[in-house]
Amino acid sequence: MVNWYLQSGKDSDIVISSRIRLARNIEKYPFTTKCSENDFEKMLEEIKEITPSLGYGLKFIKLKDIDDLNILSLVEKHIISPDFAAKKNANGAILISEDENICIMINDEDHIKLQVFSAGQDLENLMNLIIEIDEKLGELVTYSYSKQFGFLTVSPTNVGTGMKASVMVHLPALALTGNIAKVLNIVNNFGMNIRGMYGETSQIQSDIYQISNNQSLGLTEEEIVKNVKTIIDKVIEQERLARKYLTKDSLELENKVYRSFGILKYAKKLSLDECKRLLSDVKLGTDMGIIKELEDSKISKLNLYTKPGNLQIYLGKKLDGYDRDIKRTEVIKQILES
Amino acid sequence: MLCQNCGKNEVNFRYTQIINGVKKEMALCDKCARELGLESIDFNMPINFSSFFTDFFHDTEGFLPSFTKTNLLECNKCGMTFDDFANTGEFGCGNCYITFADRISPVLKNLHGSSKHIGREYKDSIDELEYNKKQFEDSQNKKGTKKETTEKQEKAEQKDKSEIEKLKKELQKAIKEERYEDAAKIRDQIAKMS
Repeated sequence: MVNWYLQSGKDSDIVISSRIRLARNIEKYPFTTKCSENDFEKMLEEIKEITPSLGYGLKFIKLKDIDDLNILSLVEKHIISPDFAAKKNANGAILISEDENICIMINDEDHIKLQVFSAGQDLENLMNLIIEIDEKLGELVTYSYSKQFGFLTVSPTNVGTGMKASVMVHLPALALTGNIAKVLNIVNNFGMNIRGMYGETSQIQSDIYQISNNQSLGLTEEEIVKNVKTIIDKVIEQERLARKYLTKDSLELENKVYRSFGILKYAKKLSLDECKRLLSDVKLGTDMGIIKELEDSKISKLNLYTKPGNLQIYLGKKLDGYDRDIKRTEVIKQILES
Repeated sequence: MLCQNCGKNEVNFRYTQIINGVKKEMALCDKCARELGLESIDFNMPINFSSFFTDFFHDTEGFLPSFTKTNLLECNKCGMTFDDFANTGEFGCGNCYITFADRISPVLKNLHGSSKHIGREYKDSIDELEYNKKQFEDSQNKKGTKKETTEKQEKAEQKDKSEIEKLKKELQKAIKEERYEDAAKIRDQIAKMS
C-alpha cells in the first residue's frame, strides 16, 4: 500500500490532502520557551520510554539523528513544518508511524504537536483518529490544561482545543478566471487562515492553498472540523464552477494544458518553479479529463519526486541545483513511462 | 501624462499614501518610482505576529497609565512577567495563563471571539481561582513591603487602593460602553490619586 501523500481521496480533483494538529504541553515541564537543557533531556527520555505504549507502530527518532536529505523530504511531504526542521535543535524529535500518516513533533513550539494526515477531504476520520491518539497520550503524560482556557499552549493563538484542521486545495481555475482573490477574501472573512503552499514567490505557479481554522478556543473540536469542512465545500463548489466556465473555450484550455504537458514530457532541463507551474496545468488537465493518458496517482508522484529532497532520494544520490534541473526531467520521464 | 518627479517620461506608476487621513497621490514613471524605492514595496513581507501583542497592550497603557503597574505581575512558576509576554507573544508555562488570567481574557476574546474553553475536557486541571487570587495578592504584598510603610500609611494606602480599584472598574465599564468622555474624567481622577 502506498503512503497517504501518493493516494487520492474524496474530492481529490481539488483537495490534495487533509491534516489535523493538536498542540499539547506536559504539565510538569515549563514551556519550550523556558525549558532548561536538563528539562529537555528528561522530557525526551520520558517520551521515548512511553512511545511503545502509545502503539500505532510509532517510532521515536531524534531530529539530530535524521540526515539533512530526509529532513528535507519530510518537509516536502508537509509531515514536519519548515520551522521545526530549520531549528534542527538537539531537543527536537518525532514519533512517526510506518506509513507516515501519524507524526508527532516533539519540542517544536509546544512540547507535543500531534498530527494526522490523509489524502483528499477526510477531516472527520482524521478527527476521530487524533482524538483516540490524544486520549491515549493524555493517560501516559499529564497535559497542561485549565478548565477556563482548555489545553494550554505557548502561543495564545492555539489555546483551547489546541486544534488546527487544515486542507490543501488546488485552485487553478479560480486563478485563471481571476476570482482567486475574491474567494480567498471570503474564506478569510469566515475566520479561516489561508496560505499559499510554496512560499510567497511561487504560490502563483502552483495554485495550491492551505485553508485552516483560526479559532481554537470557544468552539468544540466537532465545530471546528464542521466549519472548515463547510468552507472547503464552498471553495470546491466555486472551483468547479470556474472549471466549468473554462470549458466554454475548450480549445484555449486544451491548448494550455497540453502545451504544459508537452514541455513537462520533453524538456531536458527544468527548474523547480517551472516544474510546479507545469504540473499545476497538467493536474488541472487530468482532473478535468482533458489529458486522458495520466492519472492522479502519477501526478502525486510527479509532484513529490520533482522536489529537491525527494528527487535526490528517488535517484539515491546527492545532486547540486544545476544537476537537479537536468535530472528532474529524467525522473519525470521515468514516472510518466512507468 | 508625464511623471510628476522628472516631467520627462510617461506615467505608469501611481502611488497613493494616506497617513492620518491626509491623502497624497503621486504619478511617476518607472525610473523615478524605482529611484524613490516605491516599486519594490513588498506587500507580502512577513509580519511578526508578536509585535501585534506589544502594540495591543501599549495602546491600553497609553490610555490607562495606572494599569502599567500590573505588568510587574510575575508568574511564580517560570518567572515570566506580563511585559515579557506582551513583547514576545509567548508564555513560559501553563501557570502563566492562570497568573495573567484577567489580562489575557480580552486578548483571547480578540483572537478567538471567546475566552472560555468548551471543547474536550481533560482529567487534570491546573486552574483554581483561589490560587490565582492568592498569587495576585502575594505580588501586591511584595510591592508593599519594599516600601516599608508604617501601619497607618499602609491602611490609608489600602483605602486609596480600594478606591482606585473601584474607579478602575468604572473606567473599564465606561470604555466598554464607549462613554469616552466619562472614561477620560475617571482616568484623570485615578492619575491624581496614584
